[in-house]
Amino acid sequence: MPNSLPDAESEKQKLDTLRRLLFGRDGKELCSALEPQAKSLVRDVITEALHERQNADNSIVPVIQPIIQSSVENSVSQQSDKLTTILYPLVGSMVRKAVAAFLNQFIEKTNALIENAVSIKGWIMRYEAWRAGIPFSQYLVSQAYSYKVETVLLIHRETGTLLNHISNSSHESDNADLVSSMLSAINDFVSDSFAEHDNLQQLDEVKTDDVSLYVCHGPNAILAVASNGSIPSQDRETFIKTLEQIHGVFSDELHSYNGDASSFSTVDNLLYNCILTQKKDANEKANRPWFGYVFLLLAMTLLIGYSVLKYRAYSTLHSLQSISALPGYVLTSGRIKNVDKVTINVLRDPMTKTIESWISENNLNGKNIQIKEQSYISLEPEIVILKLESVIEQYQELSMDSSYKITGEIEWQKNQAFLTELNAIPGISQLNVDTSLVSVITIDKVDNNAVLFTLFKQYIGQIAQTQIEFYQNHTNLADAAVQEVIKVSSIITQAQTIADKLDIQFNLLVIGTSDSAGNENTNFTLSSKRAASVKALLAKNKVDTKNIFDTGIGEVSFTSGENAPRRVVFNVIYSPRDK
Amino acid sequence: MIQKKICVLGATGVGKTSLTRKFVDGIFSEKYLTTIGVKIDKKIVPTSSSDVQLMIWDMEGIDRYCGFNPKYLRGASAFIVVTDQSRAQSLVEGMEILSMAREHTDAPAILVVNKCDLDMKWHWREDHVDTQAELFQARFNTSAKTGVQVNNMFKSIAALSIE
Repeated sequence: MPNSLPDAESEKQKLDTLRRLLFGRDGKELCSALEPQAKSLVRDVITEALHERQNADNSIVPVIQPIIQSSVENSVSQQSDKLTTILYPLVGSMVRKAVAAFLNQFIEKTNALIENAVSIKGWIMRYEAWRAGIPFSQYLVSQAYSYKVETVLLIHRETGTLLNHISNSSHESDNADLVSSMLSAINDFVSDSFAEHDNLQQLDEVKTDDVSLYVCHGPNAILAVASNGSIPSQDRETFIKTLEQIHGVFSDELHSYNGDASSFSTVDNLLYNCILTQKKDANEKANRPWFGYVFLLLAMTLLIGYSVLKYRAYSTLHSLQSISALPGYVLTSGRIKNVDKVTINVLRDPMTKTIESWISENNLNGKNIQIKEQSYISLEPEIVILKLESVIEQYQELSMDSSYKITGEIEWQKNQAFLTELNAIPGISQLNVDTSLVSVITIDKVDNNAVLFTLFKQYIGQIAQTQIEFYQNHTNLADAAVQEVIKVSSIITQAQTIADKLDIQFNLLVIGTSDSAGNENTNFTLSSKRAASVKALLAKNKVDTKNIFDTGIGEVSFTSGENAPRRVVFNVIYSPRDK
Repeated sequence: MIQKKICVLGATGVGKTSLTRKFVDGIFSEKYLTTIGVKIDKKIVPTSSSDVQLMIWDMEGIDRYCGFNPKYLRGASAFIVVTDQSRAQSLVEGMEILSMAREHTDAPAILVVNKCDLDMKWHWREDHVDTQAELFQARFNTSAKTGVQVNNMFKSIAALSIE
C-alpha cells in the first residue's frame, strides 16, 4: 500500500502528459482539430438540443425571444422595403381578418353593454360594483372569471426595489415600485413580528373580499401576483416554477444587481406565464341556492311588513300625541301593543268632541286604536268660552260679543236662572263676563194674564216653602232668619203686584209656632210674638201689610220635646175680588 | 433608471417625516409609520452621471425604549440620521442610532441637523458637532419648514448611493 500512492500519482501524470500531447495545452489542439467540423457537428444536433432544452425547463423561448425581437426591429428600421414586399400579399388578408374580428368583437361588446346597461341584472351589477367600491368593468370581470391575475411584480429581495412588472389590465400602475417596496417592508414586518425562535415567517398570501395577493420567495427575488378571486394551489405552482426559471436564467443579473433594472427588461416573457385566468363554469348558474333565495325573500317580506306595521303604529301614536296640544284633552299615556295596535289613556272635557270623531277627522285607522277615556273639567279658556256659548245659546233673548259683553232683554225669572248657570261654569271668572248690559223685564211690564197667573202661582209656592227659624225661647230674628225674611219680602211684593193686576184678593197668614218646652200659655204667647216679629220685619222691608195677618198657634207637636219646630210659616189665601 | 433604497432614521420628533414630505409627494398614508414602523416614498433625483430614483424608507421615530427593525436597513444604499438642534438629546440619540445601524450596514450615512429655522437650543459647541459629523460621509443643516438645504441633502445622498 505505501508504494501504491506514488504509482497512482505517476499514472495521473502520465495521463496528463498524454492529454497535452493529444489535445495540446488547454485543449487548443483539440479545438483546432474540431473547428473545421464544428459547424457540421452543431448543425446535426442543434434542433434536437433546442427542443429538448425547451421541453426540459422552458428556458429557450425567453432567451431567444429578445434576440428575435431586436432582429425584427433592425429589419423593420433598415430594410423596410424588403419587408413591405414580403408582407404585402399577407397584409391584405390579415387586415380583412382583423377588421372582421374587430367588428364581431364590437357587436358582441355592444350587445353586452346594452344588455348590462338596461337590464335589471345590469343595474344590480352596477349596484354591487358601487357597493364593493370597484369600477363596473372590474366587477364584470370578477363575475365572469373564477380568478384572473391582474398584476405580476418581480421584486429584488435584498433592496425591495422593483425589477419588472406586467399588468393584465389596460392601465398600468405608476406606483408599482412603491407597492413593491411597501410589500417588502410588510413582509419584513410580518417576518419580524411572527418569528418563533429561529423559524423565519414569510408572507405567502394576503386576501381581501375581491383581491388575492400571492407572494413567492426566492433566494434573490420575490414574485408577487395580484388576482381577482382565489387561485387554486395547483395553479399557483406556475408562479413557483416561473420564479425558479427567473433565478436560473437571470442568476448573474440578480447577483450583480445594483439598482439598474434594465437588465430585467426581458423577464416579462417569463412573467406572462403567470397571467392565469379561469372562466366561471356556465353551469354554475344552475346550482344557485333557490331555496335560500326564497327563504331570504320571505324573510325580507316579513321584515318589511313588520317594519311597515311598526312604522304605521309609531306614526299613529305620534299623531295621537298631538291631541294633548288641543284644549280639553290630556293624553296621560300611550304605547304600542302587538306590533300594530296603539293603546292610549286620555282625559277629556265633556264639552269637547269625542276622541273617536277626532280620530276620524284626522284620517287615522280607529280599528287599531284602543282608547281608555276619563272625564275631567278643563279650565282652559277655550273650553270655558265653549261652555259660556253653550249657556248663551239656551237664552235666545241674549247675545254676546267677542269681549264677552252680554246684551239683550230677559225676564227677571229667566235672568235669575241664567245667572245661576253662568256662575256655575268652572273658570268663568277668568273671562270677565259683563252682564251689566242685560235688561231685565220686571213683572209690571208683562201683560199676558195667563203668564202672570202662572208666575203668581210660582210665587205663592215659593212663599209657602219659606220657613223662618227661631232659637229656643226667642222671639227675635237671628241673622240668617232676617236674610230669609228679606228674600221672601221681595217675592211677596211681586205676588201682591201680580194680584192687583189680575184683580185677585191676596191675603197672607203669618203663622208662628213653638216647641213643647215650657207651659202651653207661654208657648202660645211666644208663637204669637214670633209671627208679629216677622210681620214687623216684612213691613220694614216695604211690604204692604194691609192684608197680612199674623197669629200664633202655640205648640206644634210634630216631633217630641225640644226638637219640635220653632218657626214662622206662611200661607197665602187668594180669591177673585168682588166687583 | 437606477433605483436606490435610502433609509431615514432619527429620534422621535426630529422631523424625519416632515423632511421626506417636503421632498416628495407620498401616496401612502402616514398610518403605515405607526402600524409597521416604516413608510416609503419615491423621488427621481438627477445626478451628474444619471437620474436616480430614490426609494425613501421613512422609519418610525426611535427612542431608548424602542429600537428599529434592522431588516428595514437591509439593501439600503445609504441612510440619513436626523437630529434636532432644538433638542440636545437628539444628537446623542442620533449617534446611538448610527452605532446601531453600523451593526447591520456599511452604507454611507449623512448627518442632518434639522429645524435650523428655530433658535439653536442645544449646548453642543460647533466643533463637537463637527467631530460627531466626521463619522458620517456628509453633514447638512436643514429646515423642513423653510426647505433650506433639503433638496441639496437628498441630491447628496443620491450621489453617495451610486458611488
